[in-house]
Amino acid sequence: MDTLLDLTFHSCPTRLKDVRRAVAEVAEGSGCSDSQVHKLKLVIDEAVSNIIRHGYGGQKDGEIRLRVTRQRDKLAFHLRDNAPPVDPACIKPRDLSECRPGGLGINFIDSVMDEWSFSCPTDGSGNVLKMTKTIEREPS
Amino acid sequence: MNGCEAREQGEYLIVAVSGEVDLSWSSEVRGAILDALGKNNAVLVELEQVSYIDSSGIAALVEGYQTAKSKGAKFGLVSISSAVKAVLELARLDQVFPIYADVQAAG
Repeated sequence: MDTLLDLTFHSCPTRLKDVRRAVAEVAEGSGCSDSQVHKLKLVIDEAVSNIIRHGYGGQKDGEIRLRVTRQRDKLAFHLRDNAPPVDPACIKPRDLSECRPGGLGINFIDSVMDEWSFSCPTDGSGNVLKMTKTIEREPS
Repeated sequence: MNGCEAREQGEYLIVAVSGEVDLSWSSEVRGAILDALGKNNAVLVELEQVSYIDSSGIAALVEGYQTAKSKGAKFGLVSISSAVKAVLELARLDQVFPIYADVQAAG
């Protein structure tokens, strides 16, 4: 397993652009198609935004760590925060037939990633979101 | 460069958004759209220069659409970029918003 990215940053929305750029570099370097690069940037942005808004409640100095690893043709994304634990049962996609603002982030994660899980680690405070995705290359 | 600029064209007040719309400033986009709806009964949001949009930006568009609907105003999206189109499709909102190729097509 290769570690492609290990980034720790504060829960400030202005950091999202840097996070997206880092994810795009990793995805492009791994051979992902342009479409998949865009989707992975979006999903990680959504996951980090959820931590900023709901985990840290807008507090800008919370710590967030993003690790991306690769094993054969799969990318794994591991997001950890030190925010108060969130009930994993609350983290679920909503019904997209309802046209209302907000709550789309988990739907994006659910539809783009192959697998994802949300948990509260037993070794301390915080929350962990793990996501995996098989690399999709440009059709030749 | 992120920005929102309003201009009048015919019956419409057009809010032209540019840059990467994310949580860091989507509240400004929301404010610009709702402000335009407060001033005019026909608003278009131009998204040609948007290279990225996340769900907080999409939420601003949905709120604009719902506000317009509740007050009987015209509302639509024009010249959407491929990045915006991809996210609208992922959110299954591409069939909800009135989307026009350009301002002329909005009539």
